[in-house]
Amino acid sequence: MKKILNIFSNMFQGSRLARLINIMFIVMTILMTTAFLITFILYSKSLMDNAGSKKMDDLSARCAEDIKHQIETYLGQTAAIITPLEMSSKGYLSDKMKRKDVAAILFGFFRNTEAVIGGIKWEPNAFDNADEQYKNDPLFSPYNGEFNLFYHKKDSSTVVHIPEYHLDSDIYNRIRKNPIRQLMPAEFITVGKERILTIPLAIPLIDHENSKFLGTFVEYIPVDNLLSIAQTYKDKIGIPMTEVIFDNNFTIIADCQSPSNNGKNLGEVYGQAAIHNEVFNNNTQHVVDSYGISHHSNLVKCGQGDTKLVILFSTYTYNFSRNLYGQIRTFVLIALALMIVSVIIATIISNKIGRPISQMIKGCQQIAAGNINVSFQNDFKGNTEIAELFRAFNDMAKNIRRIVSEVKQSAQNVNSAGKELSKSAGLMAQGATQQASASEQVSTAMSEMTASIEKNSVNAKETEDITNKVVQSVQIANKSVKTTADAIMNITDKVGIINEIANRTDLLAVNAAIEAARVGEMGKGFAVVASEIRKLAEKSQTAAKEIDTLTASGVKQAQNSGKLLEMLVPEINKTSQLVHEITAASVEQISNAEQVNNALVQLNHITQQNASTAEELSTSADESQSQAELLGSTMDFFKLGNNSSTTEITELNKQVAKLLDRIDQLKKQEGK
Amino acid sequence: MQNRPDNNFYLTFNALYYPLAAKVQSVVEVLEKQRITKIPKSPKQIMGVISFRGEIIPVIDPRIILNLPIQPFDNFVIIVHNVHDERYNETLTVGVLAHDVSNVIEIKPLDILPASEFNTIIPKKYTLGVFKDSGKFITILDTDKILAISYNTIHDDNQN
Repeated sequence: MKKILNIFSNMFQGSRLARLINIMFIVMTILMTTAFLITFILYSKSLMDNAGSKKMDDLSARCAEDIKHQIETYLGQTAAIITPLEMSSKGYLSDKMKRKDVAAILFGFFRNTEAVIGGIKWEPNAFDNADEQYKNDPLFSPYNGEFNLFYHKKDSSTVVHIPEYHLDSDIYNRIRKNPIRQLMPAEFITVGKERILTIPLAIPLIDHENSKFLGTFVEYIPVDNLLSIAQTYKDKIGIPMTEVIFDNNFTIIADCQSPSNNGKNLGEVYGQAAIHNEVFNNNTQHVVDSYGISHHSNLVKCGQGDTKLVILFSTYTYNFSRNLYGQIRTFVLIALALMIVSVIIATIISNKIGRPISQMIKGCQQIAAGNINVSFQNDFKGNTEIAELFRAFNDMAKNIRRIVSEVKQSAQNVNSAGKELSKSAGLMAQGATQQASASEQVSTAMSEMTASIEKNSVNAKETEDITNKVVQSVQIANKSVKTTADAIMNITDKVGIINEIANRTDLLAVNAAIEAARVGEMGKGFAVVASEIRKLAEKSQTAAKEIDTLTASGVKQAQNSGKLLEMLVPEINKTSQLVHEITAASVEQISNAEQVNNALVQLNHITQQNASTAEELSTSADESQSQAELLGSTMDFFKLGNNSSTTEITELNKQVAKLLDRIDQLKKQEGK
Repeated sequence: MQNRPDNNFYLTFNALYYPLAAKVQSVVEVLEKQRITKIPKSPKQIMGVISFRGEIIPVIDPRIILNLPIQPFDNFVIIVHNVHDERYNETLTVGVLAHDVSNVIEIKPLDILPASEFNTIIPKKYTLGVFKDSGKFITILDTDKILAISYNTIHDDNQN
């Protein structure tokens, strides 16, 4: 409830857009409701009129039909007893018995029908020609001895004979003049204290063989029966109206509205004789009079007579559309409810759209004023465009904040970097001058180097020549070593021959010794000679062996020295090649040194250029520093929140600058 | 033939690095190294045959008969012996392979010791004794026994 009140209070406090939306919704609701109502009334009135009158016509017709049917039923019932009554007048039975039988027939008839009262009147002596005989019999006639029976049905089972009643002479005379079955005008019948309005139904009794009028049978139908039928239709129609049944004499037979009018004259009661006449005479079924009353009538004609019953339904035409007003009322109520609902919806929608937009406007204005520390704390969940707008706004603000802080920081950075840059530019200029002097020193050193390289090259050439000579002498030495080895090999061969000879001599000596031993004492001298020979042989053998070993070692030595010399040759060749390469390389070095010299001259030039550039750089660094300061002051237009982050950043920057200074000092100290 | 009991001369030689001696009377000649013709299907101890003074004589490898260690060699000599076969009472000429011949020396019968397991590796039945020369024990072979047996039959001891 509080919330609803809040919404309503917001309704007119909200933004112009919200108000516009509210008013638009309300106006639209009213317009739509009104348009619909008008169409509804116009359409449904005609519809109701048509439907109402048609229904009245229909119902009156059906009522008339029912009543006619009812009356015809009565007529049909009477037909069942008319024939026996006509037959009974032919005198076949004894007098006394006949009259009793007829009384019994009538009694039975009245007990089984709904008629309240009824009777029969014969022509004088028409029944059995014995009227005189029953003159004093109270059963039949009060006078004249006419056979005149009358019964009254008191309730559903009791039927009473009423001797003092007799048929009205008017009805009797009319039937006698015009013997046809017909309804008579309504009339009151008084039974005891009760006065009952009835419609008499008269039937003539006729001797068909002789075409002779015998008498009249009358059945008084109480109008209550018809009234109850009419009443059902009145209930069916459901709107206030008068329903009246009247007869030829314009006597009201049944008035559903007020039954006390029954039996009275229609004109006296309702006073619209013209309409009633028109209805009665012209059989007009549907008339609307000058008072706006719609009359719907139907005629009921029973039997062969002139008597007609008119059933007239009358109502004011506005009754047809009376229900409409009730419906319109409910409709208006619904429209009011709708209006309230629409106002609520409109307010909710306007709250959903208008309020966020006004918030958004405020946020945008703040950003325009430079206060970029704006962000909406609400939870903007969901996929609505508003939520997305807010999220996008938050993102935008955040990005701007970030960018501004970054720009500020970078401006400061650029500032400090500019300082650094100018300092470094100064250092660079200094360095450039130092470089120039260093390069001059290098160039003098290079010229000295060139001279030494030239000397190197000359020495290398001499070395090459010497090595070539060495190679030649080594080859000669190698050859002589080989010839020596060959000579030694020859000696070895010769020594082998000597060795063989010594071996053989040894064997011969042994054999000689054996021979001498076999001879015994006589061979002793020979044995001595043989042993001497053997000794000599052994000596020569050992000498040969020694020579052999010596020569073998000599050969080995010679071969070794040959091998070494052979190995020496490629080494020397390699050396000479290397020396050659050294010469070539030193020639190349000379040219390279010249190039280096040229490069150094260029370098000197460039170094001087560098020095001037460094000066320019220094001035431009100063300029960039001032530009950065300008940028920083420009960016100060944007206020960053509590400035906590920016102040921190600035402090941080200061500390960084201090640190850098300290590092520089330390470097200088190191340099010193 | 020259059975003189007073002849005390002995030829010393190396049967392939083992010092041996033989009576000079049995030795005919020392031949230098020459080609030995091999005989198929001959016993193991017979290395082959050579021609000596117009005769074909067998050459025996004493190391197999005397159970001496067998080592490779390059130079050798062949000592030709005359042996007496007691069973047929005839004299045979046989070549014996030796590494080299050392000397012809005279040994007094008193200097000759009986062979035992302590001074020689040669079976006792093939020896005539052992003598000492310049610090070495030299075994005197009973050439008649050895060479006759090895020449005619396969040695019984090899089968044992």
